[in-house]
Amino acid sequence: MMRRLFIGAPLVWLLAFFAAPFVIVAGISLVPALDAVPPFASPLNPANWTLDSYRLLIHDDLYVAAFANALRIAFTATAIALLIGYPMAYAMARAPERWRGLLVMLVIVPFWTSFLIRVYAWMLLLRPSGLINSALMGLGIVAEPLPLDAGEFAVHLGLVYSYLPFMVLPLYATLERLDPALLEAAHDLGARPWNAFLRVTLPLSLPGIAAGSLLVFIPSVGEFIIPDLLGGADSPMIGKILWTEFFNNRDWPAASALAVGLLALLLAPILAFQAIEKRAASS
Amino acid sequence: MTAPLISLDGVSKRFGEVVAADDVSLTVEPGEFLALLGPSGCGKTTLLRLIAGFDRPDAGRIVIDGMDVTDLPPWQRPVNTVFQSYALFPHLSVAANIAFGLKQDRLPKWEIELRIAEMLALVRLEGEARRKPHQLSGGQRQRVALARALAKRPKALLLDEPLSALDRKLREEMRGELAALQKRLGIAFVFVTHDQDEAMSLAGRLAVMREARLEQEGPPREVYERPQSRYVADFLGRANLIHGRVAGREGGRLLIESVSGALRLRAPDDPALADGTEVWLAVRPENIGLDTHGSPNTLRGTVREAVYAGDVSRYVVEIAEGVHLRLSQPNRAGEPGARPAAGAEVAIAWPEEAGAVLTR
Repeated sequence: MMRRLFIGAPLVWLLAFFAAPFVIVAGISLVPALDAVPPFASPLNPANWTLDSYRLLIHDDLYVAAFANALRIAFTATAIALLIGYPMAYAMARAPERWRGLLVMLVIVPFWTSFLIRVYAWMLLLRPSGLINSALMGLGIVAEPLPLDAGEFAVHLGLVYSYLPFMVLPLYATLERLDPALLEAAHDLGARPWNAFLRVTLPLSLPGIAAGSLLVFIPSVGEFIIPDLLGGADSPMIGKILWTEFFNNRDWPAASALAVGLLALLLAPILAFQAIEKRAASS
Repeated sequence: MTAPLISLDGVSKRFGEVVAADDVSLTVEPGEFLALLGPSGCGKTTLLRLIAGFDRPDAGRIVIDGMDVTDLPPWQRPVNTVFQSYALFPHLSVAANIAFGLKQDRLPKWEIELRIAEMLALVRLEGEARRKPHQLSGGQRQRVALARALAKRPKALLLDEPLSALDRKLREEMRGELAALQKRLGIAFVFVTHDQDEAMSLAGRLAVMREARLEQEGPPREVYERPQSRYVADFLGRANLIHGRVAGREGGRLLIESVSGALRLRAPDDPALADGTEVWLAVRPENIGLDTHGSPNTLRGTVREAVYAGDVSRYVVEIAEGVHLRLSQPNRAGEPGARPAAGAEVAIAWPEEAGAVLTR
């Protein structure tokens, strides 16, 4: 009985909060929009089923561009987070043992403040009259305020800032487990530090790189708050478009089709990650 | 005599408050098998790491093959290491592990292939080239670690407790293989161990360490039979230590009187010892016999413990108030011999030359 409960609990959770909503969203994506309440034809009647929303998705440049934007921005943000996060995680893993707990704490500390508030804070910092521009102008470094906010720069900054801990922690976990004798063995066999890093540390930290990158990439692709608050009109991301379809256009079927498309798109990197995990587990 | 292959000259190393090497001077001759022996924490591994270059000494010089390597990083030293944990690269196959150092040296591909084959044959792992370390047994991993370190043809091989992770039977097998390998290759092996059996059966020379210092070095037999301190006498095998004073000389032998004055014993003379010097007479249990054969060092006592241990029987005999001696007698089939039980009165004796007179 207890055992069934333990196995059953996650299953119930998954059914209630993932599978069921997904079936509903997928159902809505398959019927035409109506000017009614609810604003779509009944998905329970197969006669209503149509792929029109998906056709729209593929044929309307706005959606394609939004998907492309989201993927591109999430990719660059992930790459930047990796470039910043790897050295951080490496330094943490090699710090004296008594400091490591504190360093991990410091990485987690931003979570104690609401995500929304921290993104708002960046908005205030980056705007033309914000702290950064005031300081730069006050010091005479720039004459005009830099256009830091409402654009891709701010979105990248927001994504990297918000999701960096998700990059650092799995990387740290992998690097910290690495037997220091392996590096010594590499040195002993003639490898200079950089070579030892490339041939030993880097390949052995691939699972951490994959996990961290996924944890940054996936929420970045669908991110709504950061592009909404920090982004401009120039390159909308898919999360923003989704919101607009749902709440401004009230085209629920189109929005649902977008959501299904997004999920399909994110499945690819998850499967790639699993492949890497499997390979790492077998070695 | 040729120049030593490795020489440590007044080498010291601290880790914070802990002194790991205290003014150690030691040489390794080309082609010799040297065992660094001592209890854990005595600094023997530190010495090995200093030679390998993983740690730098605070004081002293290290010369390998005529080159001062004191300030050189490990990748520039002509020695290779077999790690206690083996430290095989888990993501690389056996062949790639062996090739690792050769690739660092940018050897041509054909030569790398050749050496991999040569090393695999040397450690008898020809069929395992494509396997990953986790697919191998402990003994096989050990051999890959050896092959990887030997592939670069180092001037000396450094081995850090290489057999300690293996089970007993395998350990004894690998001992034989190591000894044969070293003979065949003719390169110097520096072998760190806390296991005296291992050290004595493998090494041509022992260096016994104690609390970051070198306590005594020499061939195993010399160190075992002529220990220079109570520490060495008791660390290598077992020793009975009788506390006393030099009471004079008689017939070319040293006379030693026990502290209580109850015993007068004879031992090999040492001209350096003046009368009245405080000494300890060390006698190994296997040198004390229950048959006296008219030896001058004959004592009477009471058996306090008698233990049959298969190959030997062990006894504890009280020869004077509070003075106990341990002795062991081989149990040979068909030799009845005396097998006294606890409480029996016995005479025990040892040849004069079996005693070692120690001043510290």
